[in-house]
Amino acid sequence: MLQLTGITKRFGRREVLHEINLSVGKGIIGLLGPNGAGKTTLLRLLATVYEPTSGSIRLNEITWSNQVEEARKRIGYLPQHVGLFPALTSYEYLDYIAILRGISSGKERRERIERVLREVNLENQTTTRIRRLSGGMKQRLGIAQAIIHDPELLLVDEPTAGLDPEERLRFRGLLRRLAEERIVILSTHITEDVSMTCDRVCMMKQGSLQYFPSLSDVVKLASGKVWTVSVPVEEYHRAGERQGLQIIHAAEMDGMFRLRLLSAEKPFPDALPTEPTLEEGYMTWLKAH
Amino acid sequence: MVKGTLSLWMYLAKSQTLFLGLPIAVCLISVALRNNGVFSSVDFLALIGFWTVVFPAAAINGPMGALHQKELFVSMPISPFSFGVIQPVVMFTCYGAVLSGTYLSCIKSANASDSSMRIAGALFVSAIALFALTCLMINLFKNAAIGMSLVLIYVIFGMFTTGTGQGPFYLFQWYRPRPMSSPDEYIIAQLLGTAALLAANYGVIKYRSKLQFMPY
Repeated sequence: MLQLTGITKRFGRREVLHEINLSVGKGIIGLLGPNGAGKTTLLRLLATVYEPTSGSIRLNEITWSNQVEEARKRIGYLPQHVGLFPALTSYEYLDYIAILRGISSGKERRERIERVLREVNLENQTTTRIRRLSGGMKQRLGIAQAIIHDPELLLVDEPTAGLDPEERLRFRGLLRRLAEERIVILSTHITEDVSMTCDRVCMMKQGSLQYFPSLSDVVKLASGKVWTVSVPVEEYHRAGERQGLQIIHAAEMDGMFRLRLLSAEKPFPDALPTEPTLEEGYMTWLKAH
Repeated sequence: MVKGTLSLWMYLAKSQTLFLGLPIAVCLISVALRNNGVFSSVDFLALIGFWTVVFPAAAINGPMGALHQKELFVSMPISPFSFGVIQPVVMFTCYGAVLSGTYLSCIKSANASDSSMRIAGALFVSAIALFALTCLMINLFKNAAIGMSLVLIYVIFGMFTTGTGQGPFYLFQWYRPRPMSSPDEYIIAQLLGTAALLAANYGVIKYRSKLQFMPY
């Protein structure tokens, strides 16, 4: 169980995280928010890169404030920029990380490396130099370094940015598998990553966090506020300027525009209410906070 | 443990070949210049070879000083003693010995004197102090470029001003001693300074989450 109690982080006078309280168990939890919301700062606090200004972090019996080295042994971290060594092979890089992680037995390191390379589908790239790996392979190697010591808590910061759709799908599958045995926190600003991977989500904006135990709780926020309608071109252009109306999607068809809209009020007389998505729930939450 | 550390150094050598090899290359050039009359090999060693020890210092602290690697490195359960003390001591002993050996090799073919060994000793101590200072600066600011630049500014300032304001930590004393002083005058002070720098380096690595002076 990961517990955050009253976490605040200040850089000088600027408070970037305000009074964050959270308690989560095994499984994957999304950390969703726009750029600058404080997601990366929160992950860095959890990864022991920063120390909180106030509050406490606890993972089962370990507290961050007085058992930081113990906490570090239990954390796997994939930062946004993992900084791999291009001259090393995948195997050598993982061996390097395993040594840094204090795995002293050569046999144990070899077994763990082979296992994690299999887990991330890179077993055929053992002797390939990192500079020759694709972006997706590098991300998977990044995950491999984060799980080589079997962490209880895995922190992943915007891992799908820059991946092609196929790699993204593969990566999401990998995260789901990893979450069967541990707590995984996936920070992202892409709602699709969360909807395809997570059961629970934390939404962040300007340093504040709200926990939703189910994705449907977020979706419900936009309930009765999502509409579809077909309008002519002129009406479409006017809709873009209307207050309180947000165009989620527009597709041209036979000179008419099929629109998906987010609005508290019925935006057009012939607009029909429709089922909202996670993204629309997220947009509604962002507007309200 | 020892095997693991050796593997770690092997990976370091593989990924940081240029920075680790630079002082050795410069020392070889210095030796090659032994019979050159225009530019003495000792001058070359002092004015170019000496300060290149900042590069291997940057190489071994690369994970803490590189923009895209430090975040992961800070979050790892690394040993401050191993990374803050043992690794720099092993490395600076090697590089100090290479520089001193090069100096002796250059001086013997030119104008050997009884004081050569003392100057070589002073060079060794200055080189290890410079190495330890670079390690500390890189780890303190968690930025290799800033750490190296500050150290180079310190060294070059000392070189042009004969160590004004630097007291016994004037690192070019071995090559250009202050008036009325011998080249090995500050050996003890610089050795003690090196030990203090290593202790500070240990502290900076141990409390790496607390000491944050630069944004990530």
